[in-house]
Amino acid sequence: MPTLPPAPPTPGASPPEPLVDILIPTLNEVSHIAQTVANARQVGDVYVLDSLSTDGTQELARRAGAVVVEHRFENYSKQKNWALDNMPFKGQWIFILDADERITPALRDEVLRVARAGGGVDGYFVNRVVIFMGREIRHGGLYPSWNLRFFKRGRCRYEDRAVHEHMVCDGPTDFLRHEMLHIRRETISEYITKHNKYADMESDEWVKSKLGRGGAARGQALFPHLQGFRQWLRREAWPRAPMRPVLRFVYMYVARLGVLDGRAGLHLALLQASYEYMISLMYRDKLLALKVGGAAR
Amino acid sequence: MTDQAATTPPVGSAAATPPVGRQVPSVLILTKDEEDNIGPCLECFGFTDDVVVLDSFSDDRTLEVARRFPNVRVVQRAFDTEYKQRNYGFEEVRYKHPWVYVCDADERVPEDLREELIRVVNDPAPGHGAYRLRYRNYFMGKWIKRSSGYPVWLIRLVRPELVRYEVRATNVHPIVQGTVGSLEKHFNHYSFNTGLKRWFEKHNFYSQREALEAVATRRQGIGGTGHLFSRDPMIRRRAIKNLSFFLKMRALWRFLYHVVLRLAFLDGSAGLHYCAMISMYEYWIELKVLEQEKQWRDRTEAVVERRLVEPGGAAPLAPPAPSPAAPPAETVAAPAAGGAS
Repeated sequence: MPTLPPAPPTPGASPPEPLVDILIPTLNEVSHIAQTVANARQVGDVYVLDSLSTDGTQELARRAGAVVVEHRFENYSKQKNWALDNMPFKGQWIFILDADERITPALRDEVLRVARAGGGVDGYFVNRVVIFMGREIRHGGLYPSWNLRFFKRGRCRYEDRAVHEHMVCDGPTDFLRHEMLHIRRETISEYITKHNKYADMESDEWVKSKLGRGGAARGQALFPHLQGFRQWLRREAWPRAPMRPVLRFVYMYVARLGVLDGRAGLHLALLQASYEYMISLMYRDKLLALKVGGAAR
Repeated sequence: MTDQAATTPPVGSAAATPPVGRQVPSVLILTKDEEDNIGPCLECFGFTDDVVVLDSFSDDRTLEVARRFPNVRVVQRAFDTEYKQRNYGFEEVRYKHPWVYVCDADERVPEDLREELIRVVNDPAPGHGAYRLRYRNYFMGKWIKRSSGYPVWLIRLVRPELVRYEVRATNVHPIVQGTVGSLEKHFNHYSFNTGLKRWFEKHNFYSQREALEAVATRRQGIGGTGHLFSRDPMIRRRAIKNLSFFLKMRALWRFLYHVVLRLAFLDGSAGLHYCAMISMYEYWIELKVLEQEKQWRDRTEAVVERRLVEPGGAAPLAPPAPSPAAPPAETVAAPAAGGAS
């Protein structure tokens, strides 16, 4: 891999050649993008990969000083890997930032320091704090949240998976000390609309796995490496657990100390419990409809 | 009244076979996007030769399904308000028979009600302009009697020329010239037939509306409780509702009301689920009130702004640079004025 240039001694002075490039994947992010780009430009050159937004995201991003490239979205990992392969990056390091995230000044300084120092680490996990309901959410299982976002160009890629994508690196990885912000601006209405949609999809999954699972598959799932065990927990055990909404609430609010986040902690746990409840109801309803053969009448 | 009717085929398109020598009622069904419900609903009405589907320009296959039934006529009219639409069905549509049974797409007429309907229209009590009846609300395949406030009486079998709808507060109310009789049998109501997703969508919307109303009411303060003892039941109801906006933990009270006072648990698990869903809806209202009164979104922006302030005190790249004597970051309380700083 390319040898790193000697670190410029004075922090704050703009480095002679780009050290860190920021990649921001977008789809219809007008409400965020100008601020995100301005925030990211403090770290390095900004590249926006847009999945054909229709709301003027590209225009705003360009005006804020980003290089904008558009590419049709297939799934998250493919989209970002395409960017890593095809966008005209110049820096030795890449930082991937979502449009609703911001880099804090402390994180910016740390990123630049690490990039200058070089070293044997290929990728860094970055911690992220959610800001929602007017508050930093520090408990309830939402924090800490580590994601590999900062890495040497060419040394890390996304695994080719449709959902729950994650990065793999050639060499060793490490953790950064400072965190970024994840801004959740959505209204409660938007939150419910989104989770209603998720509950509909999730309950479909449960119906599918209830109907289409033979003993063999379940046995295989029962003999785990960790992956198999998790799968079993998620697909088999959790859907069957009684009082799931209550369990979810107790887990978030009590076991993971959501109570320490004040009112926001309470409502996040309650909303998550309602979400579990919506899944259960839809699941029961869909099974029933199948049994009766269409709607009960 | 309104003349937005698109197609108004007058009487009779195709005749099914009514029982010879006996009167049958005509049927009026109001629809909008009911492709899943309309078929099974129309199957209940094989006993009459005159069914009118009054459709508010459905976007789905409702009409395609309806037209497969030979005894069905379709009338279309753009929906403006519920009572106008319903009155149109009585004033502008001509029926073959003197009595009309009014029905929604998510309702079913069981055999015993069908027999009663035919008996009554053949021998109506003199002076009656309409009949009322009760219904059974079904959820998860079960009649949830206690949790759904049974019995509720609705006027559904009418002489169209004697009945008009009026609006009182937000409820549509039928006004009958003449006396009103009561039917003994029930129709069945499947309000969840179109799936829970749609139910949640609707209640997400309703809770938003309620929350806006609650915020306005709470801003005016708790005064004016005198109306609680008003003679007019509508005003009384309104006052009770306004008072409820000042209540904490609405969801919990609503649940306890159904379970403890109305004994909803006697309906089994379907009834309890129904109560829990209604309570969740109440929770959404309360949450949306909080969201506005505590200005969560503005405060979120303020927190972000504070976290992005440079350690030295100066904002990082803010175009309007702060004055040399930078104020402490904690004073950021006003709503973020758009741009990040």
